[in-house]
Amino acid sequence: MTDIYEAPEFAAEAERRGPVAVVSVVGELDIATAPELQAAIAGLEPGFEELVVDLSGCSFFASSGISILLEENARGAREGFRLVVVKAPREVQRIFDLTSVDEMITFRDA
Amino acid sequence: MLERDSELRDLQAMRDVLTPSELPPRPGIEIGSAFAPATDGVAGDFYLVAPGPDEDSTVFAVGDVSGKGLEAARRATFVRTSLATFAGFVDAPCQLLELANQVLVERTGVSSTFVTAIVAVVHPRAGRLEWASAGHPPPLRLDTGEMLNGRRAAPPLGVSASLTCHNGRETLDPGAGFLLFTDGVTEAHKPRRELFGEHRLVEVLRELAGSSPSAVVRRLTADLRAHAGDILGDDLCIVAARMRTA
Repeated sequence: MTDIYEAPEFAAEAERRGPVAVVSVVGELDIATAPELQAAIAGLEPGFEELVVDLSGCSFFASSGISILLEENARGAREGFRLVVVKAPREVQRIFDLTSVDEMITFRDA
Repeated sequence: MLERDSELRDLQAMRDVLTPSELPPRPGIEIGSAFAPATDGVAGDFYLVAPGPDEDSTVFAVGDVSGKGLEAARRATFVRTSLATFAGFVDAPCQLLELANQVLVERTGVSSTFVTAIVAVVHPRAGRLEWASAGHPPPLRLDTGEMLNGRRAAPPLGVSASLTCHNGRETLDPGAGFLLFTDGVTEAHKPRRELFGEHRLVEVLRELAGSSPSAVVRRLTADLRAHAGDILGDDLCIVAARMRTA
């Protein structure tokens, strides 16, 4: 059963919808792919009011990703945008519950 | 090139401090530990076994710094050293985590590079285990893999100036034990394949019920390496302990 499962290739795609910037994460965010999420966020044209990081297609989320979210949350407080994270699938979302990071970041149901 | 060499030397020196291959013997407890570094560079896992303030207490800690490389290793060394120092004076797990958080934030300010840690304090004569978590997976019982459910974990260390934390408490009868680990254990996997997961961890613990802590960590490390195809995306850090029966 284990080897049939294959997660999709990693991708972090950014788009701008008026005042809202959306970065969608697909596949496994680990220490190797985390810089791609960082780059996708850094590539956004500034001036958005809300940054949505959509993890609904994310199959793995490592602690390096949590650092990025905490960093963006802090930057949002400094620069005046709101970070909202669209919840990952249940088994991936558990990391935020386990680490109590869900108390520090705003999550929205997928 | 030279700079890179000296960085590697520094990392190796810190690694020896963070996860020493020999742990100090402690009264009334048998201990096993294992550390395996991530394949593509040193990450920031650490463990600690230290005497508590009185002769019957032993302080265990396992931690994980987000990120990799020299900076992560420095941060891990700082937190481990703080915990080892405070352990001689304080044996309430939450208080140890709160103190570690306080000195970490004093040193580097609030940061998004965080440290998850679990502290477990064992009193073998009283047959008592107390623990507290800052963003870290809870301890499991050896032999059954049952998760010790304390209160909800506090957030990781280093992300806010104060830490609100809760102690969990369990009875540990002679022969009973517990396992502390970092998320590199449950998250070990081949790229884009299934994680090792808690269910496999629990299966191994049940299968090895009654085995020595060293045998448990050896077997777990071997199974994890096999599952991950020998390429570890993250450090693995495991500490197992069992109350002696006599």
